[in-house]
Amino acid sequence: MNCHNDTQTETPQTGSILLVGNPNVGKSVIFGALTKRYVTVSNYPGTTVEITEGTLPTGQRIVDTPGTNSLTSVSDDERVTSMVLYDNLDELASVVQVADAKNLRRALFLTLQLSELQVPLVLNLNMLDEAHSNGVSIDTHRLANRLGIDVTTTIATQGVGLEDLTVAIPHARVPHWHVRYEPLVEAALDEVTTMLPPHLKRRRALALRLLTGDDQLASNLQLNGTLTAVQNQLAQHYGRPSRSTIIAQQMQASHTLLDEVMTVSHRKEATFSQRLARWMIDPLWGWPILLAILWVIYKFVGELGAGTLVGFLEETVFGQWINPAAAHIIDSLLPIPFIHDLFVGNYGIVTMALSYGLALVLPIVTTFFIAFSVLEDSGYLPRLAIMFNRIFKMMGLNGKAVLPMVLGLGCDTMATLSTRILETRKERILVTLLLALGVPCSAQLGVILGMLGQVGSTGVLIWAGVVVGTMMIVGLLAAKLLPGERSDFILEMPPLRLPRLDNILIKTLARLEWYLKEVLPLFIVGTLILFALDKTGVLVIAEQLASPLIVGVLGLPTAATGAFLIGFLRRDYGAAGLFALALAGQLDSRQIVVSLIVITLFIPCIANVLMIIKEYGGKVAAAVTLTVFPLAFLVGAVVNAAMYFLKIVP
Amino acid sequence: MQCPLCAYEFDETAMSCHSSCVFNESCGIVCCPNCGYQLPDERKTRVASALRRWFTRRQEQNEIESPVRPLSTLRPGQTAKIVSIDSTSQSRLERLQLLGLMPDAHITLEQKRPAYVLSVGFTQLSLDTDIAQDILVDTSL
Repeated sequence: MNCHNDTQTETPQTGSILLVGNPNVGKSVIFGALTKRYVTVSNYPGTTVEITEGTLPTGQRIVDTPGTNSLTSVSDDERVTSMVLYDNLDELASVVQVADAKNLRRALFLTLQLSELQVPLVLNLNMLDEAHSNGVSIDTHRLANRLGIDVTTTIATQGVGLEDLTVAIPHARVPHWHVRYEPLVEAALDEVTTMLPPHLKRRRALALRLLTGDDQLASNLQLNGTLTAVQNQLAQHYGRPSRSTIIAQQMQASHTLLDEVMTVSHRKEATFSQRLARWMIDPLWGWPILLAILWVIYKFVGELGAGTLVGFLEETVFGQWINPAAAHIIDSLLPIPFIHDLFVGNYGIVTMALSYGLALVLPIVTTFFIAFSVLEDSGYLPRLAIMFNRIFKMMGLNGKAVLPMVLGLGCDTMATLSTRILETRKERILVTLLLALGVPCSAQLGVILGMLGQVGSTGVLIWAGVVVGTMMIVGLLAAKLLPGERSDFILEMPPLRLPRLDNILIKTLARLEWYLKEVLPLFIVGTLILFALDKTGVLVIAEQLASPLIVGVLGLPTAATGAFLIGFLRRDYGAAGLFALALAGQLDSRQIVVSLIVITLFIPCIANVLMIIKEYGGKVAAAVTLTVFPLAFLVGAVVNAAMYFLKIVP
Repeated sequence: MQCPLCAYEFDETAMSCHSSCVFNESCGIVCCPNCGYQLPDERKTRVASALRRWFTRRQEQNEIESPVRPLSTLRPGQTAKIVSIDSTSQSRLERLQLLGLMPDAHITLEQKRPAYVLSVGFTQLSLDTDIAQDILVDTSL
């Protein structure tokens, strides 16, 4: 993932093509089809802050930009596109604007802003099938004539019309669509234009940018003072900032054009997917649908992944084939006890690191990544945000916070990075804390689901209730303690779409590659640390030191200490250790529930702490860590005592 | 109020019965000073006041006939034209504007719970209640 600063290094060179469009218009699919190179498509507005680039068959560079509704936007995630555009104005071969045909209204506003910039442009109306099924028809010839550029149509997901687009790209022309603003605005534009240094080109576009409040540009040109005078004059006359006056008039102009080229016949009967989409956010039916989705995911990840596949890989592949074979090879090559233990001992690289990483966790994350990709591509996530808006409001957040939380079920570290989509610092830090505290990542979740399979439904309910309850209480308290405001909940909803199999496969594989590259090495490091602790005898001492806590307070066997120690490194690894204990029959059902609660509430992993330090600094990271660890043990102790005294046997 | 048993008129807010009673202020029971009949104090029980609010809101919704009113008073399925958006937050106004929510835009309210969902053209958006209250719409199309 890039931060905004990195975009500098990834901006296009001479003669490149820029792909621009509103969010959720299928821009990434078009990019993929044009370049035969894949980019992550996500339905949630603003999650792809990355700039992706590829090469056309002709050898030309093509750059994909994040979806944006305006080139004068001030919000972080929408600003990237205009930054890339402005920084490369003079080197661009052309801009290809991708539009959702049925949402032409919003697309034309962007077209207008691009026209003001005087860049060679091709307008591509995508998702023509959806427009037709909604009774929308667009006179593309007339639109092309009015704009003076090529207008092509595609159904990118079916590969329809892509050839026309490829042919049109080299013929990109500068649109001859000019907005006549109201006289006062035009006068202001002229006035600002005269202030500009004489060597600058595209003067009108620059003046527009300045009047719409591009402070960076204003201070670069040292125009702040004189510019403010002009802006104030406009603001006084219209009773609102010059920025919104100009945007309103641009809107007006794009609406006028829209009315000329678009006709909407009677709205067709709601399709099944539209009705389903409505049920998903119904105050009543939304919940059973949510539960049904969770149930399917549990069946797929918890039973197929964590049950069947783990059983096969762990018991058969590793237990019967790899471990004995590795032991045999090592003993015949280097019959030294130290080497034997290093690879195939209790804390051996093969017997522990690889079998945890490949047999216990890999099948679980694979199934989870598949399920998550389906959810992501279907457009369900923004609907989830609506369902959870009220609950998150109590915690000083809004529904949008559900996205990092759900992402956290994949990987808490990536999710911590994605807290950037939230607007205020308070919201970001709150979500970071909740992620670190109670959202189990895919690797851990799978192991947890596998262990919960061994206790009854009471145990599952206790675990879920305690974890969710702890998060709610911490969220409520933290919301009161942290200064700052909750941001507006304004969320655009993409239509429900049937996920494409190839997208899901590619995404899943990309994520698996990440897992094997980033996570598996940490497992090996963790095992080496445990191995070293074991060999030097520190492990025994640590177990003795921790045993009053682990054995006395939490009521767990001494052997669980190792799992918690390693849980400091990665909590899924700790959970895997507990899972191994549970499979060996060393934990009773109460111990399973207590140990699961403690490990779920642990800090996810070292990488997560590093990410918090990177995003929010050492102070926040320290505060989060010092809240989470003691709390995890405290909650575990309370639950253990409660179950013991109330004689609850899960 | 009037005692339902003996019809004695008294001011229940001024009652200071059982000052030594542990419930004292938070007691949810009113006793008629005349006959001693006990009845629940509606203002003090959560259930009763919630129900009361619920009923009065229903009535109010039916009573509002003025064509220009806040978006939050529309019924799901109703279509209206935006008259104005009343907000001091410039960034909120701009975000709404870019999504198509601005004066003269025609919107259809899809649902109000768990969050407001409305469509503007072919764009569907979800909003918080407090934002919906700040949007004035005209239903006389």
